Amino acid sequence: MEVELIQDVNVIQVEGELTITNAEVFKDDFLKIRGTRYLFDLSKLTLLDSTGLGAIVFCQRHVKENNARLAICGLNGKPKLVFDITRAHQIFDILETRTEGLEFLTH
Amino acid sequence: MSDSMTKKKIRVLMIDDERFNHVIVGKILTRDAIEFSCTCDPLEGLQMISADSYDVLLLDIVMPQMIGTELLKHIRVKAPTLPVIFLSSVVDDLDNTLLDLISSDVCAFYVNKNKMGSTLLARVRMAVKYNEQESQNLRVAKEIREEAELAGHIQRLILPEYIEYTPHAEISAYFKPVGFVSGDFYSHLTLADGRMIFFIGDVSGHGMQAALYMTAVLSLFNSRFFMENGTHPHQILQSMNHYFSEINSTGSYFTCIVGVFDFNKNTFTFQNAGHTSPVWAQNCGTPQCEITSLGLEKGGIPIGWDSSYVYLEENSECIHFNDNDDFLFYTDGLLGTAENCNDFSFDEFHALSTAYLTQSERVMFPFRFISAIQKMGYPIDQDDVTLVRVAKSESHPWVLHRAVGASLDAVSALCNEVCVWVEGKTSDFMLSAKVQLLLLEFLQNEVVYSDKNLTNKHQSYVIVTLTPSLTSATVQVVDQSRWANFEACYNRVRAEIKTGDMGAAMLSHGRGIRMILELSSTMRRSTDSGVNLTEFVIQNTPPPSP
Repeated sequence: MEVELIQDVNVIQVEGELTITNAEVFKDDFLKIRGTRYLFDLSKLTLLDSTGLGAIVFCQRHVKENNARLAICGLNGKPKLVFDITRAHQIFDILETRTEGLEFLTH
Repeated sequence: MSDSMTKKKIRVLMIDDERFNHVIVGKILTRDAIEFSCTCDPLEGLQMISADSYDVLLLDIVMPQMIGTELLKHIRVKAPTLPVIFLSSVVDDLDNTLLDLISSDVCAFYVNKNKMGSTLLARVRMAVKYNEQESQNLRVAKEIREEAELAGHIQRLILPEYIEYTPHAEISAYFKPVGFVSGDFYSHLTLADGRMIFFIGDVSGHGMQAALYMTAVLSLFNSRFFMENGTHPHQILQSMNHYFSEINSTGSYFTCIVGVFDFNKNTFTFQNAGHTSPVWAQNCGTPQCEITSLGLEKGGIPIGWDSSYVYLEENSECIHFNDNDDFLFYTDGLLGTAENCNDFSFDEFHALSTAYLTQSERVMFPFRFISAIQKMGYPIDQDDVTLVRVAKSESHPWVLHRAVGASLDAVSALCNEVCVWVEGKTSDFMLSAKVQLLLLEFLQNEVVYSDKNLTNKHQSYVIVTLTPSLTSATVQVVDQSRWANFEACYNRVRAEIKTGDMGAAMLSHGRGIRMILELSSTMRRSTDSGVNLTEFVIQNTPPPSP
C-alpha cells in the first residue's frame, strides 16, 4: 500500500490484486494511516474479489465512524465489474481521476 | 502399599421391594467390605443408576411396580454394560423369560435367592471381574478401530484422486471399502512415450490382511518396479506374480487386470488375471451408445495361485477404440455374489451404464451409477466396491480441464490461467473477467467453507467450455466438499446493498455468492455419492448498469 499526502489528503495507490489472500493485511495497513481524508486510487488494481471489496467497505465504515471522508478514483477493468455487480457505487463516492478525487475531497 | 488399599471398593445397588432382603444381602456384602446401597422402588433405582456409578446391580424379579426383567430394558438404555445379577427362585421364571434374557444379555447373571450366602459374594466378584474384562475389550476394540481408520486413510493416499486428468486421459473412480480398509485397488501410470498403464485388482478376503497386501501391491506398481522386465500386460503380470509369490505367506491371492492404453493409436491392450471383465462402451455421449464385456475367453490365472505360472502374450487382447469410447472397470463387490437374487446383476449393470453413458458429463459416471443403484435399493455395503471409468481426454480447442488443490493461492493461480485462456480464445475481456471472478469466488468458498477434514486430500476439478459462437462459457466444478449450508447460502434472497447498510451484508461471504449469482445466467448443482457437480453458464452481456 503506497500512501502519499497531497493537499492534506491521504492518496492511497492500490496496486495488483486485492483478494482474500491479502485483504486482512490491507485493512491493518489502512488503520495505521492517520488523517481525515482518504482517496483510494484503484487505477493500478488488476483484480478485486468480494473479500477485497469487503476490505474497502471496512475502510469506508471506519472513516465514517471517525467523521472522516473517503473517495475512490481510477476504477476500471475487473475491479469495476465487481463494483458494478455489487452496486457498491451506492455507498462510495467514485470519481474518474485522481485530480477529480482530490478536488472532491478538498472542497 | 497393600493390595486391598490400592483396589477401589466394589459398589453394589440392590433393587428389591422386600426390605427383609436388603438386610440379609447388606450383611453378606458389607462383611466383605463391599459398599452397599438399596431401594424398594424400581424407578428410584433407575434414577440412582443415572446419578451414580455402581459396579453391580442386584435385581429382584417380582416387584409390584415393575417386574425386574422389564426394568432391565430401561436400565440398559442408561447403562448398557452394568453387570446385573437377578435374585430369583426358579418358581419366578415359569415361562423361561429370565433364562431367555440372561442368555441374550452378556452382562446379566443369576443367583438363586434361596441359596445366597457365599454364592452371592462369589457371583458379585465374578460379575465385577467380567465387567473389567469387557471394558478392557472395548478399549482394545476402540484402539483397533482407530488404527484401522488410520490405515484406511493411508490407503486412500496411495490411490489416485477420485478424478484425475492425465495429458491424454480422464479417470474417475468410486472407491469404497466395506469397513475402514479395502482389498480393492486401482492405479495408472503414464509412460514417457505417452502410453498409460492401468491396473485394477481385488485381493482375496477382507479386512486388514487384504488391505496390507493391497497396499504392498499398489505401492510396488506405483514404483514402476516392473519396467526392466517389460511393459506389456503379460510381462507386468509376470513381474507381479513373481513378487507376490515371494511375499505371500498366507495363501492370499489377487485378481487383476493390467492394460495399456495407447491414446495416439487408440488401442487398449490388456490381460485379465481372473478379474471381472472390463466393459467397453462405444459411441458414448450419443443415443447409439453400446456396451460390450471384454476378454471373456482369454486371460491368465489370479496372481499368487502358482509361482511358476507363465503369463503369455497370446492371452492378452487388443481393442481399437474411438475417441468417444469409455472403458469401465470394477471389482466384484459391485455385482455381489451370483447366488443372491437380490444382488445387482450384470444385465442391470449393462442397462444402467448404457443409459448413463449416452449423456454428457461422463466424468461423473461412477458416482451417478453408484448413487443410482443405491436408489434402486441394492445394498452395496457388503463388500469393497470400486468402479472406474477411463476415457480418452477430449483435447478440444474450446475446452479446458484443470485440477486445483484446496489452497487460496492455487485457486488464484488457476483463475488467472482460466482468464488468460478465455481472453486468448475469445478476445472478450468482459467474458474472461466474469469467468475469472466467478471461479475465484466459488472456489474460494469451496476452500474456506467446506469440511476441513477433507482439505488435505480435497481437490476441485474445473472444466471450462466455450460455446462455438464464443458468446458464453460453461464452467463446471466437480468437488467433494461438504459445504453444510450451500443451498441456504445460494438460495437466500439477499437484500440490495443500500447506502448506510455497510454492515454484515457486505462483510460476510454472502457478497461473494451474490457476485456468483449475478455473473452466471444459470446455475445448477447435483450431488452423487458425495461428489458435487456445479455448473454455471456465463454470458458476455454487459454487467448491470449503475
